[in-house]
Amino acid sequence: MKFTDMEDDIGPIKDKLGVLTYVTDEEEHAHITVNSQICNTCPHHLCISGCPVRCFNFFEKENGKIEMVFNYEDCVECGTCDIMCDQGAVSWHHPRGSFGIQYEQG
Amino acid sequence: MQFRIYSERDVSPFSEKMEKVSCKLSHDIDVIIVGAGFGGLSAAIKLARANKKVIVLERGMPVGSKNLSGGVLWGNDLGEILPNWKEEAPIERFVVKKKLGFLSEGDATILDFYFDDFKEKKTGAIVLRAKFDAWLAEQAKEAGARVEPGINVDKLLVENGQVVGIESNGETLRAPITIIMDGANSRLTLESGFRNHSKMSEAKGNFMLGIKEVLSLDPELINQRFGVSSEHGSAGEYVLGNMPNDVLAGGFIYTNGSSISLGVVIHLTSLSTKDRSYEVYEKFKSHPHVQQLIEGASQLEYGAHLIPEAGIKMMPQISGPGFLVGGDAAGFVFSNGMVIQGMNYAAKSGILAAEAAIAALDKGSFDAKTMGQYDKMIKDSYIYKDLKNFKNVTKMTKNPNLFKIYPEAINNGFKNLIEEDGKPKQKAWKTIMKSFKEKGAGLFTLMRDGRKGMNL
Repeated sequence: MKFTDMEDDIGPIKDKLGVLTYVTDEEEHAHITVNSQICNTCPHHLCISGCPVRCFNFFEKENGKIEMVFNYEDCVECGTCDIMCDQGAVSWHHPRGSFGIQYEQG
Repeated sequence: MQFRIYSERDVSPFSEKMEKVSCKLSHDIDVIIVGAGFGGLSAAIKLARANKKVIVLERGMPVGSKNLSGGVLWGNDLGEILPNWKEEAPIERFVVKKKLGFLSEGDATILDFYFDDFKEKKTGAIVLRAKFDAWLAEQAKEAGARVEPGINVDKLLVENGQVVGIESNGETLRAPITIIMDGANSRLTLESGFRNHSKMSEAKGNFMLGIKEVLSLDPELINQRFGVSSEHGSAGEYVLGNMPNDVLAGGFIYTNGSSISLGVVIHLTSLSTKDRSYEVYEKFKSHPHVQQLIEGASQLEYGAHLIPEAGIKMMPQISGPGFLVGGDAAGFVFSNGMVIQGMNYAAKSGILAAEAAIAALDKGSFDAKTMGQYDKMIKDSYIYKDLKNFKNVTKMTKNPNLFKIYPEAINNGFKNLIEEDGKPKQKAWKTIMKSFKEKGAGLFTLMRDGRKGMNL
């Protein structure tokens, strides 16, 4: 399996998030969780293709293992990953009331 | 500046919050509405005016902070409940110009329509939802509805097959009727089994992803570049022929008061492992035609939202014992490639849901038959008629030729027609036809697509 996405330049998209307002909940209340075990055998990683803010990333851990990490803090709660993931890795909920993205324009 | 606030938010148990809000209310609510968007708030206004006790629960804080749309509100459904909304609501601009564009790499053919009577009729209002929905919530409160932001409904409370209220944060709230207006990403209809799929991944073909950026721009520059005056605006939709791989996407540019709404809608089924949705947006943004319109603009906001485009084909169960469903949650979105409309349908379905709820409350009956009157009202309304008439429209709007062949063929055709290259000129239609052939679309392809185009 090739994890070619690790070469993606995610700087430009992350720059855009700099002007957004989030009210971030503690990690134990993360609204979306990803079972990264399943991602290791996934044939398509379409979550990465769909997510408009690039919350899905493969990272190389210290022991050399590659692991999918979901960055719930940057999520704009669109729901695309739950559609793109047909492997059952994504567990999707809304954030608790008043937490998460806060659009000022909309 | 990025704000990351790890704060002590008010996540006190729901019952405490409710007690703070009103001691009496929680014992005799007539209707709970989930979601403060166009659907939920329209329903709330209508119900409150009929002296029904209604509470709207919204997960965003403040109201409007989770709401995002392309930006053009067509029609006058809100006029039924708010006759002066076009004068009083925070509207960015009224559409007087409509553009339809075909973009290929570097080139663009733009049809630029101008409708003078739109100035009088005000048929299309360009809005920004965070502001507009906050105003709509004020109207609902003024009418007598309670609007409670910052409360996420986790699930419906069901007893003996009847929806009798909601559950939030482990607490319950009861009412004889619950109106579900929880949007495109409706978890309540999904998790309650009202949809014909139990996982979102089974419904990939039903959704498009909308990505939008709001770009701040001097109003004078907007007026010059789009050829409009201050209160009037332009709404442009584009067929994007400059996308990589098999990506099928459309673009839009709307003029706000002092900003531009720029965005794309992407067919999710067309994204491959190689593609990135945010790069699709960047590709549209970097097109020279777009660049000259947004030059000098600065980033205000970036966001994304699902669009339930399948319409009638994905309509869930919209009524049952103790509940009604409307707006995006019901798939009430119309798309013909030229326009995508949802806000007006949401408002209309909210008004109809309120009427059905009022009738049920007056009758004191909340069984499937009584609530089913709503289905009949929807079927008699223009919502259902629109969705039904256009149910095959995706044959054209998802036709790869529309994106992969026509934009470039049109642009090349016109370019050959216009460009002076010192060779004898051919008749216009021959030049254009040749251009289509060169892109791989001969007469028969055009005829076949023309038939599909009749679904538009």
